[in-house]
Amino acid sequence: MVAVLVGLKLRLLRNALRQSAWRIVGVVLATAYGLFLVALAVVGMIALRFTGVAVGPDVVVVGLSALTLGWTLVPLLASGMDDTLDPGRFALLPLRARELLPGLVASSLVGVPGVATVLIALASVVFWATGALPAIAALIGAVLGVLTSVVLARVVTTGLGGLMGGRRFRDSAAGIVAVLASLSGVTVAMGMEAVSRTPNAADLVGSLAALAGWTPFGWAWSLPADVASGRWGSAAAKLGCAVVLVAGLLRAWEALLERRLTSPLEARGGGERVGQSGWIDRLVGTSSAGAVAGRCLRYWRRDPRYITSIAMYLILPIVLVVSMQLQRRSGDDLGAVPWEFFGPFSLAMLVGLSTCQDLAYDGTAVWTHLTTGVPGRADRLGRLIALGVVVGPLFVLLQLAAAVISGRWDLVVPSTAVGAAAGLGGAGAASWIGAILQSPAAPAGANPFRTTNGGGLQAMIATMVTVAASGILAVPVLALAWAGLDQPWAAVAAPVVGLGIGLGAVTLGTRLGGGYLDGHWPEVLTNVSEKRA
Amino acid sequence: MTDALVLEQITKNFGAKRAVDALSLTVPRGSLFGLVGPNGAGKTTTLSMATGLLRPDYGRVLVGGVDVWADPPAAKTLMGVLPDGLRLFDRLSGRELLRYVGLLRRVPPADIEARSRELLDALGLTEDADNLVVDYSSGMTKKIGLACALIHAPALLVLDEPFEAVDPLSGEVIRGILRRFVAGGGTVIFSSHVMELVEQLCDQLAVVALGRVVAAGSLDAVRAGESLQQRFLDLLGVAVPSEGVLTWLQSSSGSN
Ligand SMILES: Nc1ncnc2c1ncn2[C@@H]1O[C@H](COP(=O)(O)OP(=O)(O)OP(=O)(O)O)[C@@H](O)[C@H]1O
Ligand SMILES: [Mg+2]
Repeated sequence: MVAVLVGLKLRLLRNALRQSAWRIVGVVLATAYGLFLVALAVVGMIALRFTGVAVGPDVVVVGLSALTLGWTLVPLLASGMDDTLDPGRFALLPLRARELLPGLVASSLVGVPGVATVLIALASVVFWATGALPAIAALIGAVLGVLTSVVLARVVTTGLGGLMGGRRFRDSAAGIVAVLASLSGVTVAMGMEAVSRTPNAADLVGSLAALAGWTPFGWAWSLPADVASGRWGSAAAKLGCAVVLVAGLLRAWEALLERRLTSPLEARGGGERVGQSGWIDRLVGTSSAGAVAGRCLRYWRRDPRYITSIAMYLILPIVLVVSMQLQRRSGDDLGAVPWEFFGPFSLAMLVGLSTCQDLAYDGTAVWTHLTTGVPGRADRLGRLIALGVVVGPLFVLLQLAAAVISGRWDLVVPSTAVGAAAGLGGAGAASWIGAILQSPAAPAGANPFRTTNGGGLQAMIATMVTVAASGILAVPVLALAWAGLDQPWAAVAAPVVGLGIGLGAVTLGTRLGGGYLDGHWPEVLTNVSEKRA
Repeated sequence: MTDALVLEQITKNFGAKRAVDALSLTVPRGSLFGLVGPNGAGKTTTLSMATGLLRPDYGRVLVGGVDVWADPPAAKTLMGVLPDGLRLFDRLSGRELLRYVGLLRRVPPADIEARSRELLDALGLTEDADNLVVDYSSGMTKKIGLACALIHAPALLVLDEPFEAVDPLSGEVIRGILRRFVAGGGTVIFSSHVMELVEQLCDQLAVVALGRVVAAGSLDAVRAGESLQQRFLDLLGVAVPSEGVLTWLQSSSGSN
């Protein structure tokens, strides 16, 4: 079964590559990046070993723990989980989860991240192999560490994804995100406090390594370090923890698999009846752009993918506000910069991202826009109106929160000016680039952390262009706002220029993007179809 | 009088595969035109190119004399479309979806209201009008798609397998709607796999296979005195599996 599944995954990846040049480019880039990281890690570890620097072991433990953490975080925050072998597809075959499990674990390692992780883990064995016992411990640690990385990532993405597709999540998403973000705010504040108390870098790495070694991400990786320095008790404890963790994770994955095998269908709407939401129709009117805006607004409320985006927008501002507040309480001097205002700014930097993904989220349903002949410009504009209705109040709320907490009401206007340039600028840029580049996205009911078979490079480029545009357009306004702190003319100019840049970007972006759509609708439809030529 | 739909030499390749091969077809105004052919014949691909969903590699499409690929907006206002295998905006309720399509088609809001009510009623969807389309069964999804194609009272209806998964009762309703639509001066082209239905409903048809038209014209001309089913089998030279093949299927109740 292991050989069958690994072979299946290889064949699926190869077929996906044949389908589109984008995927080949994507794989080449990912491979280059992976090779670069592997080379860096291997050379680094070997250098550390033979120079015998005292912090060497600490650096290795921190690095490897970060690798495992990355396996879990990156799919959640950025790339999504490769779901080439979706277990739901095996639902009709007479197979048990237990039979599939080893093969699925093995095939998770097929791919750039898996191979890179295995290579780095092997290099770590070389690093620790200064004696027989540390070498054996390093080998055990490497196997457990790799297993933890792969299986933890699977369990977290599958489990969370399953939760987030459901209605219950939708109704409590805001609360969950607020709690999680506040918790991370507390962590950040504590971390900053620790850093400010620790005098030099080596000590800092040392305490980080100690900390990482006692988190689930570092249990396996710090095992050889303990063995090498003769801390037998701690080594035994970590070995126990790591083994129990891997066993528990495997059981959890098995349970999730079992569920997927018996109910493979995507979550649907949940059988709810919807109200008439007449206020949306009154708000947006009956023009084409208004109709698109009304439809998008309903999607912001009903589609888990949009709800997830709102949650993502709010994490950073909440973390900032909470951690800053704690720092102030503990009497630390944060200097003249009221960092709270970074909250609304970070929201403004991110708002364009959902517009990049809009057409991909629609999927093949965009045929409705093709056959009704809706002007591309109305499509672009309608989506931005909906975005504004959703994000605008959040932005105002964050501005007010920042002003109240920092007490700097004088900064509201300049900060809003910068936010307008960044937010509207990003939205305008996304309207343009999102019309040009699309790749298929996982449909609404599916796990939002799923990536479809190899695509996604287009989405990544669109994201980078959008964030870059936001940042670049904000720079002149930021300069003016800064100068405005003691130059009255600049204080007046900042909001004018900020609004001007933002509105200009939106006008240009919707016009260019709309024009492009008018000429390329059929290609857009092909791009967002999972089945494509 | 211009024809409702003219396809001239349209061609589409998917990689090395030629899905539609220089296919030409004329759908006269006021006809109920059936498109039949085996799986993979290129019906969906043809209808996609006719409706502006898929760009042909070569060829021309005229709807009421307007070139679909030269002046898409003008051609699209004339057509109502029901594609096959594409999603709908399914996080809207049926009523909201109809209103959405109506607004994009620039139908006056008051008309949308009235027409939606009639369409939902006729298709038996009133009960579920406020449920999300994602929760509809496949037949209900077909029906709401059909309602979307009708909402702006088009001159030409292009329907890809409109009767698939639809129950006999709704099927009868849809047939009634199509007949009335044609009697009122409209034109319909639809694809189907049910020969009896095509025979009963259509006055014109075309048989396609391997991306080419094998036979086309009025129903009687294509049938040439046989039943359509028989004629279809003759035209395509279908081989039914002979005795001695697939015998292992008979042991499916026991071991394998
Ligand atoms: N996006 C695509 N990429 C590659 N090949 C395709 C694509 N779409 C269709 N084809 C191929 O083109 C041919 C015609 O397909 P099409 O869907 O038009 O057939 P059809 O007549 O509608 O069949 P059915 O009766 O099964 O609906 C098939 O061989 C199919 O494999
Ligand atoms: Mg078809």
